[in-house]
Amino acid sequence: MLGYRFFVNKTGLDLFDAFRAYGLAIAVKGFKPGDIKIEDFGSAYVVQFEGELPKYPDSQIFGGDGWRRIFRTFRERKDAKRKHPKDIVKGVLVQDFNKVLQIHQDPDFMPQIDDKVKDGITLYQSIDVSAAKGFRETKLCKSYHEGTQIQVDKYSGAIAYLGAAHFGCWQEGVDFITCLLPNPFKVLFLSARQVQRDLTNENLCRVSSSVTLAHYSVRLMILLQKHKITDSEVAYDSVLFNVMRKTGQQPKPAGGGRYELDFLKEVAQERETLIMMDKIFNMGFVKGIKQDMAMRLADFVLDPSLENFRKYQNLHLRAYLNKEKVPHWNDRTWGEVMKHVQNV
Amino acid sequence: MSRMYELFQNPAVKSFGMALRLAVAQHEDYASLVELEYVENIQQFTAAVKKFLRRYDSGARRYEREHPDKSAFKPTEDDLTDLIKLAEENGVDVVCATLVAHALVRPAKEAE
Repeated sequence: MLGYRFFVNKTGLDLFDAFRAYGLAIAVKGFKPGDIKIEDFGSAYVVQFEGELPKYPDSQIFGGDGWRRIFRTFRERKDAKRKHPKDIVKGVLVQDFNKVLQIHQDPDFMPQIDDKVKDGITLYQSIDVSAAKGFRETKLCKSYHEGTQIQVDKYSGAIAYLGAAHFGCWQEGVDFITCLLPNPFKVLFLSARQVQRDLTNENLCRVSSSVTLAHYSVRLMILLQKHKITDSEVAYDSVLFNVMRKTGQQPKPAGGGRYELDFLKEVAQERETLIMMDKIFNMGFVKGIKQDMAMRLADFVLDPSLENFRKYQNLHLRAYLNKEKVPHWNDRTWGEVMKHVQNV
Repeated sequence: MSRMYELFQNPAVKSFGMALRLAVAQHEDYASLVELEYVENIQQFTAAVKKFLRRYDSGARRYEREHPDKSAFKPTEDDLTDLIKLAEENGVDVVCATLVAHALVRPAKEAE
């Protein structure tokens, strides 16, 4: 059987790079049976596929709800001269499908990212907050200039949007929109897709973007344990996230980055610890001390320092003393957390 | 593994932690809890522990008066010496955090 290797060289835009890796895998495989492997080699993702390469993309890959969320900042106008970005992406993938696959077989291919790229497409802030206009240009004195949009070559852009549409987990709170994606350290496509689909349907606590990120990461670890998914099938090392702030008009950039899963992997040795964290995040929907607990726990999960540990612990004790109905840590589960408090 | 867990397992911390848990749950001694949360140096820590022991002792005596056939749990003098030594060696913030942790957690069987 023929084997192919595709290379996705990293540009430094973490989420954009990971979406390209997932997008390339789905472009090659579509929704057909069989598996494909994505691996993170530090400077590049490598997508390995065994079998006959398709000549055309699977038509089903252009369906789904994800597309609308990516291009939510695009304003449709009746007199618009430009096509909708989804149509542009579809056009690139249908017309230049072989070219897309071919250039990614070259280990030296790097995406072109600039203010102006020939035949380029706009990189939306929804798939990487670094692409937001205000981030790159200095404002001089009183003059106000919004900045120009970042463009990326159409081949890289198309597969990134494809990956975002099918693998991005979009969560919306009262004042924020976030996109979450586990970094494919070493994953088999089908298992990763199942994990992502399960997580998208989960009801996460969306009090704030940090709580959503922490809750998502905890659920991810629980899911991997529940389905007894081994590291040879799916191994994630971090969760990539992108946060936008809702405004009266278009969403504005709020932050983004990478959350390393080391701490959660350590505490996951005691499964009940994760279950307990999940219970506390689930209480976060209720205003008052329960919501405060979820927020303090999220701070601790994202930065397991002694200071955050004490803040959370004191709050939980207050809830207990106030006779609130909160779950109890036992010496085994809380002890497991204490083992991994940093800088102590 | 963090040093904190070793402290959590230390007999002196366990003994004082259990006393704090009883003091908070049975005698509603929230003052000691607040004082332990805000100590910043060893002098304040020693003072807070002394005050806690005074309050705990009166609570324990009351318990023994009300339950003549039972004796209340009390940390020993050696536990106190060890606790102060641990605070000097490891810092008061870590030791206080582990004491409060004992007040927070339920033994595994009880929690189930």
